[in-house]
Amino acid sequence: MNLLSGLEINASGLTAQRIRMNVISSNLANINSTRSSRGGPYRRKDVIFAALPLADSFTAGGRVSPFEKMLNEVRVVSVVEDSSDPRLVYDPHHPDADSSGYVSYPNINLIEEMTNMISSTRSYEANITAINALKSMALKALEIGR
Amino acid sequence: MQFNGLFDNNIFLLERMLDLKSLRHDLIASNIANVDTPHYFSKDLDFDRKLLSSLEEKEEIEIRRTHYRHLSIDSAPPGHINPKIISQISEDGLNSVDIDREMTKLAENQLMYNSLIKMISWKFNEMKAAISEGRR
Repeated sequence: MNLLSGLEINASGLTAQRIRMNVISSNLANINSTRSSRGGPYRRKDVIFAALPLADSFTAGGRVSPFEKMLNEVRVVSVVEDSSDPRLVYDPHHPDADSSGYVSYPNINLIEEMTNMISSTRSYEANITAINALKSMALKALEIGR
Repeated sequence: MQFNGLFDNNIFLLERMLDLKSLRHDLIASNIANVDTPHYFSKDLDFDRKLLSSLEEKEEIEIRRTHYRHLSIDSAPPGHINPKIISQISEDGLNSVDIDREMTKLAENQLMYNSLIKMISWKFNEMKAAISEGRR
């Protein structure tokens, strides 16, 4: 049993939430981008989280208790594009307007992105709290026999 | 009282509980890390109930206890406490992590862990007092 495997689990949570935050930043920054490298407007991106068994390089070949098999870290397995339709705005003078005068803007909803950002921040803070809890527990354990 | 080396059995009980609290922390950490993962089910230990039942199995103890939940002096062998991991499965198959509950469990678990450390420290201090014949 690894005393500090909790740290790895929460560190994976921090990484995942940070990646999610970066993707949200990308969405917010490109909310008005009508061109992208793939052609057409920028498309909203989203992360896919997956709960994976804790990969521990030290205990991988050795004895793993049934409890440890139940521990899951979180990983971002892929970043996917939202395939919903672009937002059409009538602006015939825009260089990217189509033949009927509509410009395709990215399918990003500002409110949705802000809400996701707050949710991501909270999850990040929860992971930090858990890490601090484990740190103080580990320090307390050093006081045995003092 | 059955002595095992320097200490009575309770210190092994405390030690095992400490291990389990540490494991429970890992489970809670896993739940918190996966708070936004779809289809993840919240996990926890049910060892408090398990511990009580393992202590209650030894009802035939000769020392009279005035309350059924008092620990017997010669408590159950500590390796006996093997709790199960329970998954809280939501009916709709969605993520079943309740972040408020997890944070409360985290704080509670930390307090319990620290109390167990205190209890173990007391055991060592008692032994120190005996070694130094009560002088400091």
